[in-house]
Amino acid sequence: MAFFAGVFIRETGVRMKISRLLRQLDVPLVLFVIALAVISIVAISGATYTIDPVYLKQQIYWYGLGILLLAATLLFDYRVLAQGRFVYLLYGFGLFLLVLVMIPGVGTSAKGAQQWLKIGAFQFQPSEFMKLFLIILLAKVTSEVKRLPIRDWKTLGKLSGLFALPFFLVLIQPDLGTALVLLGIAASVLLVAGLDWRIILAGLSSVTVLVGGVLTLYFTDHPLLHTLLQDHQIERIETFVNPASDPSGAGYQLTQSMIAVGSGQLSGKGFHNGTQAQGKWIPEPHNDFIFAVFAEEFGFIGGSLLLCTFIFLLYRMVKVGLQCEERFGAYIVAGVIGMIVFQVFQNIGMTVGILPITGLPLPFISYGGSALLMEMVAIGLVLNIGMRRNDEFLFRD
Amino acid sequence: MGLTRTRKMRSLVVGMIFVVFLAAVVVRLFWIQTVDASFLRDRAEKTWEQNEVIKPERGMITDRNGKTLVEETDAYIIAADLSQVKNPKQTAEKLAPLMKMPKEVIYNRLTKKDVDQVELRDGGHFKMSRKTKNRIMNLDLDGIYAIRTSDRNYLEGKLAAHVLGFVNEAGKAAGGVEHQYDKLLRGKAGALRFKQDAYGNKVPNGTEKFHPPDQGKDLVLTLDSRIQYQVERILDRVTAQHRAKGATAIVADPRTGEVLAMANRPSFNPDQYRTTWKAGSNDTNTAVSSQYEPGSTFKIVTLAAAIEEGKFDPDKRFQSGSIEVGEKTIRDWNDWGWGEISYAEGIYLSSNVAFVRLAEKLGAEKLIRYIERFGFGRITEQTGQPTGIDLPAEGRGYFFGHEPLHELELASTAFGQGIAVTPIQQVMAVSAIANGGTLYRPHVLKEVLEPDSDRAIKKVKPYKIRSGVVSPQTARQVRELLRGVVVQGTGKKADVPGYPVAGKTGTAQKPKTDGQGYASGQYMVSFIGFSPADNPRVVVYVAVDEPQDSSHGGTVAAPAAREIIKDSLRLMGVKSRSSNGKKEKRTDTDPSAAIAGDWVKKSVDEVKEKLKETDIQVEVLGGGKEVSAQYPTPGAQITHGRVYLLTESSKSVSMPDLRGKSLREAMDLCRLLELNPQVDGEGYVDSQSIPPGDRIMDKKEIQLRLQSDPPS
Repeated sequence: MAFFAGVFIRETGVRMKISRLLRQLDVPLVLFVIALAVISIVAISGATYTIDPVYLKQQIYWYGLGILLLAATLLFDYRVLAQGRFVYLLYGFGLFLLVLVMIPGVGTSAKGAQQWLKIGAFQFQPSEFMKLFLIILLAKVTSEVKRLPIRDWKTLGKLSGLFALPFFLVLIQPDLGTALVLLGIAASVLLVAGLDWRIILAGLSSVTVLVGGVLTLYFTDHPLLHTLLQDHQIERIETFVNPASDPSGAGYQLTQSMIAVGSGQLSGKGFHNGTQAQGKWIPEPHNDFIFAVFAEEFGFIGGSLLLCTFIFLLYRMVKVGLQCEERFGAYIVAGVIGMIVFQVFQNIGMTVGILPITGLPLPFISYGGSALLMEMVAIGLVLNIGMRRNDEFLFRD
Repeated sequence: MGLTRTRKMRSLVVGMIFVVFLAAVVVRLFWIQTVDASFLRDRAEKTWEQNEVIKPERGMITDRNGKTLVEETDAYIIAADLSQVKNPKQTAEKLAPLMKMPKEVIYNRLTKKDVDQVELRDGGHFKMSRKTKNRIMNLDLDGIYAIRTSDRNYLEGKLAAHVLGFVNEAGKAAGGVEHQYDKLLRGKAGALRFKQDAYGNKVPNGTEKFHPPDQGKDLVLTLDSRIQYQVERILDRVTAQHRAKGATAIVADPRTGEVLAMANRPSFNPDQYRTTWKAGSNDTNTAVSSQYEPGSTFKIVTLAAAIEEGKFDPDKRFQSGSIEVGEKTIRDWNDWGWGEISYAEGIYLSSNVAFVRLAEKLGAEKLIRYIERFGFGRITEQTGQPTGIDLPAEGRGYFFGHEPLHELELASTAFGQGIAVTPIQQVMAVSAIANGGTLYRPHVLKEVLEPDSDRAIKKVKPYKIRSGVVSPQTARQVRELLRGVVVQGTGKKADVPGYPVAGKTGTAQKPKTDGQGYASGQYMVSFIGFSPADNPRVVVYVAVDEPQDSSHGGTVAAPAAREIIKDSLRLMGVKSRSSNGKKEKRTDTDPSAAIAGDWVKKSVDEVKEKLKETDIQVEVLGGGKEVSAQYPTPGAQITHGRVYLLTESSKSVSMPDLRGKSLREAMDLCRLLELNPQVDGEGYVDSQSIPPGDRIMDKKEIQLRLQSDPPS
């Protein structure tokens, strides 16, 4: 296999190469990730120390494992991923797991959605890994497109098919949040990969028309609404528009979350002093609503600092993407950006009441192994791409 | 390279879009954490800061001897957690018989929308006893639980209902000391402020404020439940016996103003107020709230004033029967009086004319002043002066409301007409006579105790409104004269062997409900007195509203007062003087108050037949077979166990023997015989100018000599 031979040849000048690669490692990006890790530990401690200290220990453990994985991701040239049908294999494996999840007895449910796989004592969410697989696959497929902008039906059909399979599998779990993240990933990869502006505009306007239409129907209380949507879906809109209408369900969550964030005020109530968090008023405090815990205890200063960290992270990743001379890497970076930032926006947006509640963890901050490991691998990929931005690869496109 | 440029451009655009997204979140965060913050902070405080009210226990009420009249007992409200209730219909069916609530009501509560918890209560009774609660809990119904609370128990039922008042299940006090001393009894709620988590648990170290509740104080009343019990019993009997509309009695200690007993009919049972209490019908504490014409009992005030001012000479004589005042003629209560009699006799016989004359001698200014000094207020004003008794809704008295008063108004006031006063006002005025001239403020509260201890935090001292209302000498003379009223006048029925009673009867016509004149045949009859006459320990007032069979205080109220006095003094441990002296010996010991029927136009034999079963003697005057007139008058009490039936014209009958009879009885008989008696002396008839057995013929007058000792 020429691929392995190439790698091997390059590794002959190992010493020189490693120092160069390390020089090109995006240290600020690493630092921001470490900052997020610190914030995560602080926030999880604030959220759970009155409930169960095991969460904190577990998260530190996950971070340790995550850093190992991240480091491991740096060891090989990312471009090997674009070789052959390897990514399709990953993608197929992901789909297989998503199907497996739906088999009763094999998959387990949490929060009303069938989304966990249990292997021995180990539990994980296949949909998290599917995100990464989809990024790499879309990056590969789009980077192989010869004619830009992308607008030929064949390519579009292929891309649509590859996206649609995991999207619907996740959607029927049902996990709308993750499905939307997949959409965000696809959108940002395709946007950067050169999807025709007209298609982008068409997509944007159809989304706008869809959302606007539903909202219009809702506010005019049109009978058509009830034929288009199920009752529980209408209730979700209701809850988003008016949280007080459902004080025990999602409305309760939003209301409590808003109260926690709002009562944090400018400088917060202090570490471990968040009354709403300690009083267990905040739902899912270590998970979906962890931002509320952090913003309550550290106020606007802490909350905006966290957001700024994400913005810097975004900036560093965009920078990597811009510096990347080759499409596959740049598209992967675009996908990772789409995945992380879309999730941050979606999660904090619902916490502060500008987006409907969909049930998503906050990347790097929320408690949870599958998501964190996948995110660390994603960052590792970005760092990998940044490190090898001007590296010669055996098979340049 | 165009392609790369496009890609980079697009990467930048994607980055920018996401930056805008995140910036929007920052702006939103800024908005809710600083601009909208205070609102959300307040909401946060509301969610975790829990304020719990710690309810104090309401104080208990005891009588003066420490007997518990009212106490708090544990009670339970049955409630339901609707999310847990599985089968509302079945649950309601099981609960209904135990809770004594219609099952539809319970079902409706159990199926209430939009709430999680409901208390199972309707408008009616909802507090369950421990026993009922346990039985309900034993059913083990899903979602049904009990909330502990307390309930008010009136251990003696209707005893002293109007003095106690009641507290309804919602905790609101109505009437009586429950209302008057509500704040003391209620105590002050304590407060606990703590942090609470979403599951309702207290956060450790989250207590921010703790004020223990100020428990309700226990009240000791001046009432003596033993006396009260007798009073209640006697009122029940009197109202039943005379088919009266209502009745009122007050027993007070004249030396302190303490109320020993107070009762009214109609009444209610505070323990079952839901079914027995009716606002506007039996909730009125007539003893302090109702104002009506006192009638003759008010004459005591006129008399005391006249004595104090030196205008009363007991031996001075005057022509009774009627007197002209202005353009009107005021008559004695029997319409023609008793001829020329002394003022002392006028007092005993309750002669209106005597009091009009006394009032004239006193003059308007002094009469008004003395009425005021006795605590009634100024009769020139519209309303009078409340006594200040510690019970709600006290009446003030209702007077003329203008000045100067017309001479007819003054004259009627002198014998208790034209003005309206409350029973308690009269009791306090008479108490001032009984105690030698001090007007006290009446009260029912004796002590306030710290709960569950005997430590008194307040002792109510006798409160003198005014001393020297009249001089002790005047008071004594009034007492003696009032003793005479009982011994030989209108109040005979009130006397108790061993406990010399002094007092005055009263009969007042009730004004028509429209206020225009008097309603015929509707009387409020009363007796007010005290005992022992020379050293009074109790003042007793009894009024009977609209007795159906008699219209005289002496025959209806006096016997009731007599029993109350007897029981009160006995229970108070006052020694009876029955053994010492014939002075207190009574000629009439027949308590079986028989009532005279209407025998006019009936045959003598028929009357005799009717009275055969009793030991009443029938004295027939004249030789006719049919009764033309009778004594006593129909409906009146038969005194001395003897009735007189006139069967012929009074001219042709022979003179009965009046010797040994009381002045009152002699007078009545003379009236029957259309003789005008000229009385000399006090006490009992010693000799008569027309010898017994002589034909009366055309004689119009008879001289009666009296002496104070009754014949043995």
